[in-house]
Amino acid sequence: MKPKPRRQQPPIAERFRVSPATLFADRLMTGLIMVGGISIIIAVFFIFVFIGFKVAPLFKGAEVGEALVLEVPDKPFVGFGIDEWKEVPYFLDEDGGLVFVDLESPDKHHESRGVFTLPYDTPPDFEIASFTHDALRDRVIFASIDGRVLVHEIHYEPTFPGGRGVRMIQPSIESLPVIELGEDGRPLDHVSYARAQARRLLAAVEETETGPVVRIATLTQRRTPFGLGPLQIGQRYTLREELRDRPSDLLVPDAADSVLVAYPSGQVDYFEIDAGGTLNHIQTFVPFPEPADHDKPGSATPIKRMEFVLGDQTVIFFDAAGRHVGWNLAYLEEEARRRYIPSKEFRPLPGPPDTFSVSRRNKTFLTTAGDHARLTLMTTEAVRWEAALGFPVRQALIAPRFNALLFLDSTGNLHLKPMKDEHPIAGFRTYFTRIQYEGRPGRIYDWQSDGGADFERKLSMVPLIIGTLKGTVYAMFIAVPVALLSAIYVSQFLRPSLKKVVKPTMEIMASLPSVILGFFAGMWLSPLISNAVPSVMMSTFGVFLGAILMGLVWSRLPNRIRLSVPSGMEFVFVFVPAMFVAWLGWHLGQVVENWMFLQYDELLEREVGSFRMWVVNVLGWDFETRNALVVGFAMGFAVIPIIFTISEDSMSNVPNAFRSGSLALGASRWQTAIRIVLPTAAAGIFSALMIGFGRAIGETMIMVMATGNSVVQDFNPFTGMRTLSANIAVEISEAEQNGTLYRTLFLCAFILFVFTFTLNTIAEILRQWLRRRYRAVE
Amino acid sequence: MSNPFQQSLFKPKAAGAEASSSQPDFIRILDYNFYYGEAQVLFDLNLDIPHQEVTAFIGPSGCGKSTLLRNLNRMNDLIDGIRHEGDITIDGHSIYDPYLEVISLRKRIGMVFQKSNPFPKSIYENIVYSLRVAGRSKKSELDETVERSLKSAALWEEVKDRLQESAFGLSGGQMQRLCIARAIANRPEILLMDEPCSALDPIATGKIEELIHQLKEEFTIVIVTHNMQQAARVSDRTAFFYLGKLIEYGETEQVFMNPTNKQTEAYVSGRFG
Ligand SMILES: Nc1ncnc2c1ncn2[C@@H]1O[C@H](COP(=O)(O)OP(=O)(O)OP(=O)(O)O)[C@@H](O)[C@H]1O
Ligand SMILES: [Mg+2]
Repeated sequence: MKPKPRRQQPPIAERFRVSPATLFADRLMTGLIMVGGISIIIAVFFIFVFIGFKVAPLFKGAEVGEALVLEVPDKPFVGFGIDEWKEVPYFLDEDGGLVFVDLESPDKHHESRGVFTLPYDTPPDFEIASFTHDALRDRVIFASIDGRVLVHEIHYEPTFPGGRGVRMIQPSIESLPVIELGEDGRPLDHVSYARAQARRLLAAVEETETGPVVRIATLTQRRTPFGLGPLQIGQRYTLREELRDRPSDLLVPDAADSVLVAYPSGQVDYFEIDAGGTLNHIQTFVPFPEPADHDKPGSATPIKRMEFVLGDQTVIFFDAAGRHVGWNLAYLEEEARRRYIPSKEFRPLPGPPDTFSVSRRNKTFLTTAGDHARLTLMTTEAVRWEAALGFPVRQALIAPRFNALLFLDSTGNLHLKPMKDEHPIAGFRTYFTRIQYEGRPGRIYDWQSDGGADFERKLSMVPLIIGTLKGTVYAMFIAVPVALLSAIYVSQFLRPSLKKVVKPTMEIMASLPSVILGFFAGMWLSPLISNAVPSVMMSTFGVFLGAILMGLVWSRLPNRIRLSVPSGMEFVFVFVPAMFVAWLGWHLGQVVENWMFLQYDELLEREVGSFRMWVVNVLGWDFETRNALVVGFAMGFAVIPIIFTISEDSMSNVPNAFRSGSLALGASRWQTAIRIVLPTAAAGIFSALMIGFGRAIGETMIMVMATGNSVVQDFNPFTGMRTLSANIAVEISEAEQNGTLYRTLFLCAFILFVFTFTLNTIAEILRQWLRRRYRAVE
Repeated sequence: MSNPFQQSLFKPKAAGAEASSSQPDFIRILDYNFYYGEAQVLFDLNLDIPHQEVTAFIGPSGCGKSTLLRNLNRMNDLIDGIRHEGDITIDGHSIYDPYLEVISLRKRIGMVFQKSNPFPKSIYENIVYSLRVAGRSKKSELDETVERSLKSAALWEEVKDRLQESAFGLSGGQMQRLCIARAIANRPEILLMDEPCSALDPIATGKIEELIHQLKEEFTIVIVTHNMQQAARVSDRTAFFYLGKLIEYGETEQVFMNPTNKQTEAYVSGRFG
């Protein structure tokens, strides 16, 4: 086929041609702008995704891997433990004997030790009546048939036998001297031992001729010039009449200052040794007042097991059906003492609890029932992991470093499951629900990120969100009226020549670094305001009231005076009285303070006028020097210029034709401003408010410096707050990379991001609507 | 408190009084100089505008017609750095009287701008704006005003079914007539029109000219126009300005047919610049 002849284009005259340079520049700039715009969208999206990735691990449970099955002697072991390196577990047989197994396969450096034992250092006449195993602290406590107690502690130590960095874990047994706990030389049962620094406590049930008694003894060890003296019994206590029944279990917390006694009836008695050394009965409580089987109402359910989780502040009680609840020590203000209160209710296990193991790193615990295993975080009652293992579990253990779960089945196999749970204490409940923390009497939201392993970190987002809202609300409360009114004034009333001065000044203010504002607020403003709240209030409201009054007076003035003032200069007549009213308010405030807010000062031993004390004593509110009022003023300074400039711009941009149209119809300047300018500029003003709001919500330095950063959950103007952004700034130095706190701070950022994103989206929709509604003719 | 201006200036006409002839100096401009900052725009103007007649201001662009018009209701007050010498009186009272409230002056002088400027509100609200700012909000009065003003502005038939719709939905000519309706809603005494037809097609222009004829019965009208035919058609008297000076002023017929001044003649016959 013949190619279609191309139509000949008539030549274009030279002067109509577009030069290649113009075309090139045009295409280049179009391209650049497009690339720029798209990359901004991508960048924002990427930030969002990045924060999301940082936050996501917080909401994952524990990941437990495939088991490594190791063969160990097939005996009905009653307990086991393992070293931090998971190399040499020990097993406790029915007689209390210890069997160690070297799990490391032999290599060229050393031969496997295989299965080996270490002998206890037990006196020959010590005949064992019973023993207990404290898996958390690797202790085996023996009680003899004649009332003596012997505590053995298993220690592991890495050794380097061949030098050259070859590590071998060497177990050893440290035995305490034999202690005569029993007084009648009878067999002991349920022996329990605790040690807190120098303080030690032993407790056991002794079977006397008249029935069971509980023997309790404190142990002391004197420090002598030649080292520590022998371990001796300090104080002895016996519970005989105090007992309700034969104890079914004893528990001594690590603090070594109290004893919990459980009875078959399901009751628990709590005894505490006070500072004077007296043993007092504090309370009796029933962990399971309801029977597990609802068909048989009436009596309480017996306790199958009771165990502490790390920190020994919370006891977990199990019944035979698999229900388990937590009770923790709480300081009760009204009783002025600590006692146990019901704190947790966990999802019941499918059957009776066979095993229980506590983490040494956090407040999680592992329970099994049949072949069902479950890892639970005590603090939030959240299940971190659970599974049906497919074999009946004889013993279970959380590895000391919280990096594996170990299960011993009934056929002599040890299942070592590697576990990855980097943020065990994190989760939805941790961040967003009320939690009953140890030591606290009720369910609360709280933030307190530091503390040791046995301390419950409080990471609730709720007080931070409330704090953020509080800071923002107070800032906007002060900023919005001032900024909008001054924007209206400057754009509609002020002399154009003066406006040329005011506008740039405000713009400079907008660029003032917030650290300077924060510094001033924290160092200078906060003591000033806090010591003179009535004065500050009266001055502030005085200025507003004074201005309104002045307006009234002004409109009643004879025309001769009124009209002799050049238009746009009227502010002088408000400014001077306003200053006077502010001054008057300040001094009147002091008079009012000395008159209405008289409070007795214990230091000065006389009545003084103190609003601060009045708030605390009469209103019963807290009062902090760095409080929301200070923040309101300081943040006002940060936010006012922004709202002012943007809304002033949008009001000045209202077509002059509208204004003159309105004025020519006999409207006053105020009517023009309110009826024509404000609605027409509504979209811009709305943007100004949103940008101001965004600034307030994200403002950090002022919040850090002008508030005490205390975690406050009310809108009391006299307390500070901790905002999401300030929280990030304050805690960032504490946060270890990729740790729980680190990611939690990202969660703060995420919430802030979602907050502003949602707000801005809603605002944008509203703004578009306003714009359509009051669109000016183009 | 009473405003002497309010009492005396716009007193109701005595019954049967022949207004146009009785008040040939209803608006007086006396030795009037006007400055935007340093620049003088109006020079030594002396001019009497009679009651209930149409007076046209003509002259080349930039000669100060709008400036003078805007001074009659003191709209130039909005501009920074203005200054004037001489005086303007309306019915014998100076508009620069320190006792005078500018708002009440403007309430009685309607103004139609060169570019139509309806507010971003409904047609209805545009018309009743001057009543609302005067604090009058009786529904029946507002309704009555809307109908009367729109009828006067020959717009009623076109918009009576869409009074609540935005004024921006109107055509350019309709908008201009809406602005006229708005300006006369509060029954002012004087109506200032700054090139009201500059953006309109001949049909709309015709309607507005017709309107001016009718409005003359009620208002004293000052109109600025570049359209000589229009000036000749609608006005009773014509003032010709050149470079801020009043060159010629008289009966329209005389100014157009028999100008005394060379420049006027050149301008009205279209031979000018
Ligand atoms: N706001 C102002 N500031 C300074 N000078 C002004 C201002 N408004 C107008 N002028 C100047 O005053 C002179 C008269 O302007 P004016 O608008 O009165 O002219 P005009 O006769 O209405 O012209 P046109 O027919 O083009 O509307 C012009 O030279 C103009 O540049
Ligand atoms: Mg003009």
